[in-house]
Amino acid sequence: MMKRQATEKFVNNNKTKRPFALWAGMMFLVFALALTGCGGGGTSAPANTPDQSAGTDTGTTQDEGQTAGQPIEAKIGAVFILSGSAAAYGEAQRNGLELAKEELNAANEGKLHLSIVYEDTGGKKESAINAVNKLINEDQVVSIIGPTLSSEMFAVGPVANEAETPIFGISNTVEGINDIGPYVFRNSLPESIAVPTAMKVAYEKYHFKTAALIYTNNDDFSVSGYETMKKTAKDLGLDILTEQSFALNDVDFSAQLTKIKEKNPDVLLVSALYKEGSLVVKSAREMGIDAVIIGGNGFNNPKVFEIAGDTAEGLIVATPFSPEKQDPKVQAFVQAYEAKYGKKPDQFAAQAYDGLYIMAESLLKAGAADRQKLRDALASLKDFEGVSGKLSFDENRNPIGEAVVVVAKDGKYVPFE
Amino acid sequence: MDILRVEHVTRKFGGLIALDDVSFSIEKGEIVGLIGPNGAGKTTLFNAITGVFPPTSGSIVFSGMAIDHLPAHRITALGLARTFQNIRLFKELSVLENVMIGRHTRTKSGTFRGMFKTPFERREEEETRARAYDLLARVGLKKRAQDTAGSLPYGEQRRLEIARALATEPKLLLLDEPAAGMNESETHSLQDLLVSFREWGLSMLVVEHDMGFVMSLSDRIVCLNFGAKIAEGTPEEVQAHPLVIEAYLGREEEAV
Amino acid sequence: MRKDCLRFAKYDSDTHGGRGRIAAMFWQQVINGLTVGSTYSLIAVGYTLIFGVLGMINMAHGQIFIFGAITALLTMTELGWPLWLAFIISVVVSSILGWILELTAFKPLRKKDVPHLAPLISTIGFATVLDDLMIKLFGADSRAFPTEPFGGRVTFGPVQIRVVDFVILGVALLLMIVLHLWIERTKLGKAIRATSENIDTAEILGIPTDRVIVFTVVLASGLGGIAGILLGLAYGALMPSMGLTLGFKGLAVLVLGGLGNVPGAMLGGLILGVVEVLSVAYGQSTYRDAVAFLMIMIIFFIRPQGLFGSQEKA
Ligand SMILES: Nc1ncnc2c1ncn2[C@@H]1O[C@H](COP(=O)(O)OP(=O)(O)OP(=O)(O)O)[C@@H](O)[C@H]1O
Ligand SMILES: [Mg+2]
Repeated sequence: MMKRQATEKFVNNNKTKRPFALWAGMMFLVFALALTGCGGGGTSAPANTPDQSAGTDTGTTQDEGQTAGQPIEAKIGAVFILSGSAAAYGEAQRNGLELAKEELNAANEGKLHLSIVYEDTGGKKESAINAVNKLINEDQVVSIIGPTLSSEMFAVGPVANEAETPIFGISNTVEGINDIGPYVFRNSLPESIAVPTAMKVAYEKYHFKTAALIYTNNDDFSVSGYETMKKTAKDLGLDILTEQSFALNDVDFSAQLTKIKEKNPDVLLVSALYKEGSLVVKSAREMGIDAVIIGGNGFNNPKVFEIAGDTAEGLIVATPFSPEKQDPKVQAFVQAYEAKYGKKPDQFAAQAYDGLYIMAESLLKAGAADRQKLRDALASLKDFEGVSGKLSFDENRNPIGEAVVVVAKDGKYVPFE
Repeated sequence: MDILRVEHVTRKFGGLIALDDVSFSIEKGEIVGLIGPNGAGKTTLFNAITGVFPPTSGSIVFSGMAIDHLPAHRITALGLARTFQNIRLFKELSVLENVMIGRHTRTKSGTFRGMFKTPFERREEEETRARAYDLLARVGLKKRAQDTAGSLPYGEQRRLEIARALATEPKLLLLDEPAAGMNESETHSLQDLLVSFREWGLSMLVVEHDMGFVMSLSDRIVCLNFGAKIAEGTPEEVQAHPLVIEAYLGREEEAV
Repeated sequence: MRKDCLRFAKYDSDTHGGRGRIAAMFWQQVINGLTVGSTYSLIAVGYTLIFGVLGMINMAHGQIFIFGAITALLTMTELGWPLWLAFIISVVVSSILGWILELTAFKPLRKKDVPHLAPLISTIGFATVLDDLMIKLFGADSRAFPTEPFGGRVTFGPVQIRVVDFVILGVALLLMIVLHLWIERTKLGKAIRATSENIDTAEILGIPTDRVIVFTVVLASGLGGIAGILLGLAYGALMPSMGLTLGFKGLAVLVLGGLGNVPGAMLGGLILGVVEVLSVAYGQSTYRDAVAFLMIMIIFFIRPQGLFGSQEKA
């Protein structure tokens, strides 16, 4: 009997945690793979519709025939990032749109009445697709403004194009946006125009010889900007010493910047959205990289100064819009914007503002809130004078315009000279 | 005066009645043996007394205080300690630390005061260490103080568990098969060790299947079968008890 | 003005031999890795302590410490409070959140007849609530973390280190040494270790395990609060989403270091940081996380119990 006791004891000796350890390990790896697989993209903020009240004030659909005496009732969808880590872009865009809507509705009293339905994507392609489908099918909008990111446009552009609904990008700067289809427009200068302008103007002054590149490698906008930068650097005859990259949501850039510092380039070209971009600039300066830094379109946001602080000083970017520009139209816009929101507009607000003006002009020209007529009116746009410069479309509906080069000084961008 | 009184204790696990209306008591300074075939409910009784699985009904009175439904650490603080049938040392901690942890309730530095090392805490820690060494010397493990507990051979692990239990300064010590797995000479020295604890007036309740060991050690024997008490008395009385003989013989035959 | 800057302090690459420069760069990268890694370590220690006493992963740990750190950041930027006070605020807020977590997510499920993994789910719930609350209170955007007090760099031969990295590494290592000694030497530290090894036995030996658990959860969260501030210093900004992404790093280290093994978590964090940085430095930055997780997988094939876990514990 005693022996039996002893064996039994050994069998149930240890209360072991092994199964859980294994389980935890497996679970963790699954999570890890999921995380790396999707490149850590996106935030978890829910997609909500912050300002739907704007869209509920009219029941008119765009198909109703317009008689001369009645104003055109146009319901427009807006698809922006209003939550998550890139929300500052969408916020500026909504502000610009709202200001333009008020002005336009007042100015065109009796002729045109605009209402806007906002949808939030949180920066996620899936949410953007849902939003666009809802706007087209449920809200029956005549056209869509947005989405904020180029990568989102690549996801939703085909959807709108398929539904023959004009979709108008106000911040999509990647090459090839217009190739999606005939219903896809944008007034944002492609980076292929803006970035080379900045680089050339800076080159004129500094005559740098060597360059290093750093960019977000899992974001369409940043990758496109990087390609443009690289091409321009070659055109300028620069020696590219190193190319570094990181992923969206990365916060540690020390390894990449250490390599760049070791190469000691004359100019550092950064293609990223403001969140990562500002941190890159900040860390680069803190680590003692003293090269001239030229950034892409993503840096056109006041948040850059909030995050990078003093280290932003000297940062060069090209922008279609500068609130410092001595132009009556621009200054009127800046003043109205400041009065309404208590801060200066950035490029995103300006292009949104211009976008709605273009929309209104085209609707008046079309004479009805009709998707097809609106598309044709948009396509024939010529020499539109907006706050972000003069704009026309080429035969592929690509915007033709000019960029201003600005440099960061004392916490804001001032014209570069 | 009795130190422990178990009154009509019943413990059920689902439909299984592991303890069935068990009553008995232990006098101060007495060594009581608890026997019974496998599955009789001996360990379950230990668990009920020490607060691991409180009784479903009935009451347990320790030093005049009802302890059923007190949390286990409070029962320990009152002066009741035990060892385990399946040795349960902190295998990753050192031999010395195992014993020092046993003194948790006997040191004044409260859970939160124990965070800092004031002179008071330092002195107390030294005292704890010294007492732990004494206990290790007593069970013959002083030389192994710095080894990890898991590295000890089996017999020494059993003795370390006893030292750790003693560190809580119990008035009543519950030993669940302390001689299991030991050879004859180890069993002998264990018996001497346990008898020597009488000098402190320590009461003991010992579960053991080694009949020679438990009969010669105990003043009194309680026998359980199928959760119920079937006999109680001196070793001679219990050994001669027909129900006890039947319980063991019945089981032996089954086992053959 | 940038022009002089451009040519300023340009160290002459010819004075160092090619090999010397490569070695210097390597050490520079190792230090980068250690700095990042020391923050991973601190985060991982939080998971590890709780895993030790509860045998459960606290999925809300990341949200808890980032909540504490952002609150502290706001006291600095909005109220002008100093950095040392921010450390305290962060620790206090994180600790309180930890305590609420214990009360709401862990305790109600303890000793109840619930599935083993139920507390895991309740901590995920807690994390979701904190995430939403942070978006409401702070917004999802990144906020600059003032690093001015530690501007500048120190030079050791060819290696240059940001002062702020020194501070981070120093604080993190000091904290870990103190924590290690505390766990090894003090009565409460022993009680935590005993509870980690076997909670029932600890209870029987007179340790009030319920209180030990509360204390451990609060301690782990408070340590997270310090880690959060160090993250702010290291990266120059904080945002709510860092709770999730860096939380995952901490989880990786928990598993890497051997579940519930505190020194393992400390070393594991440093190792993960260095491996990550070196994989970027000498490989492809695209695969930063992938390389790190691949390393963890390989380690599990070789040592299923984790780097420092003992056989029985795993
Ligand atoms: N936690 C539990 N849950 C369910 N049943 C249990 C539990 N603990 C004990 N039992 C059952 O109670 C009965 C008594 O078991 P116990 O361990 O007390 O016997 P024992 O007398 O100690 O036996 P042994 O001599 O083999 O150690 C057994 O049938 C056992 O299966
Ligand atoms: Mg038993």
